[in-house]
This record gives sequence, C-alpha cells and structure tokens, in this order.
Amino acid sequence: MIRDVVLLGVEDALSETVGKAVLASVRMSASQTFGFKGNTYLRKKISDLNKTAKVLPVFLITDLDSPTGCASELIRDWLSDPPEPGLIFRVAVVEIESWIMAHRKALARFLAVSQDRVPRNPDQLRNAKEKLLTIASVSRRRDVRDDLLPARGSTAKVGPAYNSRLGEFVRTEWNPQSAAASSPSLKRALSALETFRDG
Amino acid sequence: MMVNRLMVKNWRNFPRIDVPMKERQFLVGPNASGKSNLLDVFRFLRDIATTEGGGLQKAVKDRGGVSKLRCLAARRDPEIVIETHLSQSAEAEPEWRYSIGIKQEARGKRQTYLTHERVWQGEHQILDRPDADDKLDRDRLTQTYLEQINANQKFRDIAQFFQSVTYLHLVPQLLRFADSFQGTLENDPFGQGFLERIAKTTGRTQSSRLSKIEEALKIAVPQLQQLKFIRDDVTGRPHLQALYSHWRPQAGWQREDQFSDGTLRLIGLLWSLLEADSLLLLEEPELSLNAGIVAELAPLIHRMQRMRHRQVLVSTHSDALLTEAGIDGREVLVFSAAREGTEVKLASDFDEVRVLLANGFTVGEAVLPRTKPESAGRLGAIQ
Repeated sequence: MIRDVVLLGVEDALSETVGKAVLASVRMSASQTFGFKGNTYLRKKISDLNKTAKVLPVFLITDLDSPTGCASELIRDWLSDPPEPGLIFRVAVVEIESWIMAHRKALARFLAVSQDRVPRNPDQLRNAKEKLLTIASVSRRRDVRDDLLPARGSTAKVGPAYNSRLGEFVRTEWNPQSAAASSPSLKRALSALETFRDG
Repeated sequence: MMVNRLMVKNWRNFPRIDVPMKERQFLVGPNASGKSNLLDVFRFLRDIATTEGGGLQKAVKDRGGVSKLRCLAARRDPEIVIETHLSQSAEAEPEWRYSIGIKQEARGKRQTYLTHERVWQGEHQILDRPDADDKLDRDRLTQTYLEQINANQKFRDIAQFFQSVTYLHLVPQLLRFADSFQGTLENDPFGQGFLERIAKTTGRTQSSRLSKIEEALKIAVPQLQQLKFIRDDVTGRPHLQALYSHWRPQAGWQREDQFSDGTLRLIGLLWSLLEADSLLLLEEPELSLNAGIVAELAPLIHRMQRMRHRQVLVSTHSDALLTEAGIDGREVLVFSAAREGTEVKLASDFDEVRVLLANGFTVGEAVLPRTKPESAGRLGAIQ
C-alpha cells in the first residue's frame, strides 16, 4: 500500500484546506477528497470508508463538537467494526477552528488583533467557532469583520465569506507544526500521520 | 446504432482521446475542460454528413477553420484525426468504423483537405482514401465521401447515423422570445424552433409524447395539471399551454412564454428523449431544475432508453445527478486539464475511484471531487 498518499474525508471546505496543509506538513498528500456535507454524512459513510481503508489509506477529520466528549469514544461510537490500520481517523478537539487558532501569532496578524486575545489552549474551549468570531469582532480591519461575522439579526452562524477567508489564512499563513505546539489534538494527528507514513 | 468507441487526435483541447462508450455516458470535469468540445466531435461529424448545405469545408469553416479546431499542443503533428466505432450495443463488436484525418495546406489557398478517409464494415475495409483518383486530382480530397450520396452508397448507414445526431442545450429565453429573433441557427441547438418541431410531429405520435411529458410534469411541477399543444387562431403559430390549479379557476391556462425556465427545459429534455433513436447530446440537463428532480434524471434517461434505444451523452456538473446508486463507473468520462491539453478517462480507470465504488460510494461521491479545481476555494476570497 502506498503510504504517503491518502483519501481525505472532511466535513466542509475549510476542513479540506486544513487537512491538505496538515498532510503537506508531514510530506503527504491527498489523491482525492470526500465529504463536504457535514458531520452526519461522514458518520453515515464511516463503515464504507473503513472498508475502503483496506486498500487505500483514508485520513478522516471530524470535529468533536462537544467539550465534554472524548475523541476515542466518538470513534467507537461511530464505528462498530474495529478500524482498519489504513483508517487515520482524527478528531479535532473541539472543532477545526481550535486547530486554526492554535497558530496564535499568525492568526492574530491575519485578523488584525492583539495576540493576547487568541487563547493559549484552544483544545479546551467550549465553543471554538464562537471564540474565533469573538476575536474577529474586535478586529481593526473592517473587511475582516465584514467577511467573518454574521450581520445583525442573521440566521447564519457565521459571516458571508467565513470559510473562504479562513481558508485563505490556512493556505497562506497557517503552519501546522507551529499550531501543534498549542493544540494537543493536532499534535496527535500529526504524529499519527507520521507513524502511518513510516509504516 | 450507437457509438461504442471514440478516438480523437488533436481535436480542440484534446491531444488524444481513446475511450469506450456506453448507451448512457456522463461527461464531468472542471469548467472549460472541453466537455462541449467533445460533444462537438459528433456535431462536426453530423455537419460533414449533412448532404444539404453541409460537408467537410462548411463544417470546418463554421468552426473558424482548421487552426481553431486543432489542438494547441499539436505543434509538430498538425493533423486532426477522428475515428468512431458504431455498433448495435456497447458490448458488441463494431459493425462500422469510420475514420478521417484533416489538415490545412501550409501555403497557397490554405485549403482544408483530407489526409485520409477510411471505412470498415466489420473487419473488412471498404474505403481507403487517398485512392488512385485522389492522387490524380488533389481537389477531390477537399470533400469526404461521407457527404456525397453518390459515393457513400456502401456505407449510407454511417452517413444517416451522423446526420441524425441531435444536440440540445435548450435556452428558455430563446424559446420564449422566439418571435423576437429573426431566423434560427442551423439544427436549432438552443431550442428556438422547438415548438415547430412539436408542430411537425403528427397526430398520435405527438399526443402520446405530450401525454408522457404531461405525466412527468405533474410530478415535477406543483400545481400543473394539464399540458396542451395548440395553434394560435390568428397567427397560426404553435404554442404549448398548461393548466395550473389556481384560486381563480378560469385564469389557470398559461402559454409557454409564462412557463418557468425549469418547466421549459424539462419539456425540451423529455421531448428529445422521446423524439428519435439517434445519438442525443445533452448539455447540462440539470440547469434550472430542482435538485430532487435532477436526482431522477439518470434513471429517467435509462428508462426512456429502453423504449427508444437512444444513446445519450450528458455533460454535467451536478452532484445530485451523479449521486445515483445505479450509475456505473464506466458510464462516466472524467476530464482533467493537464499541461498539454485535456485528458479524458473513464471514471473506473482511476484506482481510487474504483476502490470507492467497490465500497459503496456513488459516482457523484467518488468522482466529482476530482473535477473540482485545486484552487476553487480561492474564488470566494477574491477582493
């Protein structure tokens, strides 16, 4: 089995960008991506993905979404069969935004806020997305606020260009190795990938 | 008859294509990867084979000359080649093979001429040009035998097959305002003369097709109850009328100029599927349609094919259309842009796709992410 090229399963486009950056940082890559329909969809497909992983390594990223939950329980809860060795199932604690925020210095610069505003332990937040929005709300740049924050009274949880602006950050500024210093769940993901890659 | 294999060299943005084809074939790829250019191979053959006002010279000229048709990557080898295999079914041995090569004179009148024209019936080659006559009179090579009734006698079946290729990319606005435009384009690709086509179909054929379409519309379009074809008493022009259940019972009849884009496109699509048994080229049939309806298009095409045996090539960007469990990986052509032009492969030729399909994923899930441009995410971040 080729060990440095994987199928990347994600909840949405932002996680895809993060997943690709994470893979690149350990000299791996995605031959193909899959998902983009949220968490319930990946969950529905998990046993098919596990079967796929017998032949083709699968790197699956999902959000824990609950601060009290436990990542390994989530995996057992999703998957009735034992996971194949080719299934690299990583849970972002608590959300993909935690991993993004973990590169504090770069994010502060990108959002034009003071670095003190970015939390030191993003894995321990109750709601990482909300926290990121709170940080963005004090941005010195109007276009950042405008893209990331929902308009007053909006039924959307995030602003009109939230995913694409954060995606731009991940592509251009975000460094998974630096972020891993503040996010234990990202650090574990990186080492799981390296272990798999080196067989 | 159907096309069960297509081979192309230096056609537009394809340096080379060699793919088998099924009765139902979906074309997927990023924007401008050449899905329409592949469909145009068959329109080109149709234009050549059209005896009245067609022919090789016109087909090339209508497309802006050989230099526009030739693949940009074709620097050393400027010849365009198209070969098709025709058979009764996808699995059968080809009954016919037709191949042409085209070049432009390097100097002088810069005329378009044939480098070859070959026909095989089964294993037996029945035409091989340039022949002795062509060598004596080079002007003969500016015309194919395919376009000449006197010359295509032995392979008239091929000529007729290409002549009846239909292309549909119905543009509702053109149909709705057909009266405001003078004339229609040749072969009416955008459905401007669609109503005339219905009008020309006579009696029972017309009413049986319309009643099938009515049945489908009743499912797809809420409140639509009845579909009728009429001629305007005053102008004599053909029209479609639909009755909608309405709070004012007498106000329900509407003419096609009031139909929605989706309704018009669905009518056009269904009519074309019922119309003939020749090759049908459909350009993005999902446009303007509700995702729930789009999800039914693939099985709908299949069922209609059982009646008419009409081969259908469908270009699409739609996840909903391809997320149908019954689509075979061999029914999907994937277009991927490479440095030297576009590559076309069967979805089932990709190892990853085959593994995913074998493990319960649909073609939409396994293939469409491949066609997304690497940098698509940046579009939303443009300032």
